[in-house]
Amino acid sequence: MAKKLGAYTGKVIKINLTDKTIADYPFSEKQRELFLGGKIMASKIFYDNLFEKIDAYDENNMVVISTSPLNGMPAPSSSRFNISAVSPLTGLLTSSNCGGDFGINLKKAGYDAVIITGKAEEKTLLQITDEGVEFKNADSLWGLHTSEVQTKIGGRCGKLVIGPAGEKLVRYACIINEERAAGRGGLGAVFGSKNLKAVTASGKKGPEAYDKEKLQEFNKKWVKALKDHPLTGKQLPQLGTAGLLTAMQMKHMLATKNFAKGQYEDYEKLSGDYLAENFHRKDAKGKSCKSCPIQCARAVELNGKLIKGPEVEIIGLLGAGILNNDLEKIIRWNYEMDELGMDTISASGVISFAMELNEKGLWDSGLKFGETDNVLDAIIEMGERSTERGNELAEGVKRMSEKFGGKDFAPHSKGLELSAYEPRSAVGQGLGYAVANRGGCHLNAGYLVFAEGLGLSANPRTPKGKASLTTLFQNIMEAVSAGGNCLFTVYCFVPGFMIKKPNSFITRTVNKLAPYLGGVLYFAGKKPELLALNLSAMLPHAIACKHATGSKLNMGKFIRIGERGYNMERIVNIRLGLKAEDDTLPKRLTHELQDASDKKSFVPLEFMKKRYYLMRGWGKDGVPPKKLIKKLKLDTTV
Amino acid sequence: MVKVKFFGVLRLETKIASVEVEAKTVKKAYEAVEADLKAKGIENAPTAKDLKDYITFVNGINIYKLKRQATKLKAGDEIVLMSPVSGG
Ligand code: SF4
Repeated sequence: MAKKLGAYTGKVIKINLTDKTIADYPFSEKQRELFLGGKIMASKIFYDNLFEKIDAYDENNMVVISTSPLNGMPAPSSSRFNISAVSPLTGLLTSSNCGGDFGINLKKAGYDAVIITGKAEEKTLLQITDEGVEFKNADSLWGLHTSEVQTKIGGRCGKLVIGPAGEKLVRYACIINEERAAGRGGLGAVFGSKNLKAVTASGKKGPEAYDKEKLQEFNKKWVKALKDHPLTGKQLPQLGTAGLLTAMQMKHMLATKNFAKGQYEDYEKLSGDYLAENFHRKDAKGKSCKSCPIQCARAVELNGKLIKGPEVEIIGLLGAGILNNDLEKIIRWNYEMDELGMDTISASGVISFAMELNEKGLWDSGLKFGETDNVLDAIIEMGERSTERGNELAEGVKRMSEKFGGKDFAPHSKGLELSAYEPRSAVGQGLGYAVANRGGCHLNAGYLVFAEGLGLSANPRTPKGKASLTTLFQNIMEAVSAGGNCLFTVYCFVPGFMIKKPNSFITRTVNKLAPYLGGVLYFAGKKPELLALNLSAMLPHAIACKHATGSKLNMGKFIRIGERGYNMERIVNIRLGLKAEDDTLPKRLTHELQDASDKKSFVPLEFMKKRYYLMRGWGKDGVPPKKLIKKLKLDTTV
Repeated sequence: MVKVKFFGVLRLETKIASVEVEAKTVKKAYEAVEADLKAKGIENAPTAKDLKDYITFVNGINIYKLKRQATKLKAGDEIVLMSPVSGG
């Protein structure tokens, strides 16, 4: 008999909060090989169980918490686990990735994934250990902020908690684990709708790798490569993601005044450098994700307490986005949002949109561009739904635009608020925002800003080649995420010398050719046998997963897993009502020029979308055809 | 005088946010920055040769859209120098 796969516990359970039952959920070894783990494993569970539209707050909505093979293994930046559910913001499948210690602990408790369904009668804390599952009363935890709940639960276990925002069904409430968030899509509100305040996991020992020695050996090389790479070895550890803000400004990608512009004149006071000089504190221990040699999180001080510093997205959105140059205030707001348990990106988008609604006389919330004295009040009100204003803000940008108007400048796609990257100077990112399965998310979009300005400079305003690059990047990131690594480890895909020497002939040539490179690689992706090799410098993830699980993975198969995941999510979304016309952006980005002197400074979405559907092998209606479903092995009951 | 602003690892390592130099071209500005940092006694400061790898903007425009190192400068111009790892 063949040796069993390593790195998995082999067990998935379904917990019903309504009747407090627990049942094994069948997920075979073959399925583990085809769907790897994390968000793709979760998508498969939805793919097999969800066939019609369901409201996010329906008690039959499932929350799938899924681990990845590399969680708990000797591999860099590999603590990232996943939570998926139907989103209260988009009504579509959302998945959110988190770098806290919960995934590792869930595997120690003996589970690759847990499916939570039903609705608890009383406020509940779910305790998962290697001895079983217990439903505990959580009355004493209800109302507490996210750090307080974790402290009160105490003990050595992984803790997933929601704050008041989740309890009050703020549509973009998040789930917090340590100081890391499963941020996007409103998963915290789904917890709240189920009366679920927290889930804990603990156990003595996780599963072993298939080939521990080889994995350890490979890990050493991989960590060294990350440390030697200019982005993951220097830039991110020293400046965090905030270090990207100046580049965003210089490349006209810094969403300013609710995405009206791509540059903010006072950007210097928001830059990563300014943050480092004025606010960084040395001891950032415990702020970054487990098992990460990059350690991109920075510690800052607030009222004598060391807290995790803000990421570039919130600095952009609550700085340039609302014409605010006060970084100290952003640090405070960021902390408050984490404590209330709200996604910082969505909450920030809501505030900038409210300011523009006010400026245009559509809704007077009292919030005004450039005036920040009442922003903290607004944040607390929305997180607690404690006032009429807070209640409106808690509904998110899409619903606000349906009620008050302003759809043309409402910064969201499919209901999910856009991140801080202004896509009229990174049109491939614009395509990604529009077509991404979970809505306006910079990562699920394919993070083309990296190729269009933040790593390389592949002509950011040409639509050429962007569809193929987007497809490729999305598939790679999908698979990397399912394997359990942080997406920042994908930076190594671009050789270090090209980052160090951006002006060199080679780098400039690659930048010029990049729009065409995607097509070549996509073709190779269509024929995975051509990629039946493992280039450890480019995509070490496939090799690590191979050593960890024993599955015969190579780059081609790995990217194909990503493609399988992306298509599966698409199909689930179609069952939930998604149409091609939902793959869109606010008109401001597709019909107004960012720069009056450059006729190309808008997102030519329809042109790119057509090509994107073609690249994906979808019909003109954006639906994956039967042939593709079969090719991806999604037609059989494996 | 031309103002040269530093961003990224360059700024963190030199602990300098900006310098003012006299220079008629970008190439000359690189040389002037090297001399300025040397005069300030900054250890491991980048040389003019190193600075060629830095992403350089003159008044907000990448020099590769201008005349590269031959780009002419006049008093009051602003150069932004980003470490090559700051997002090319
Ligand atoms: S690079 Fe940053 S986000 Fe990624 S795993 Fe490390 S600490 Fe977490």
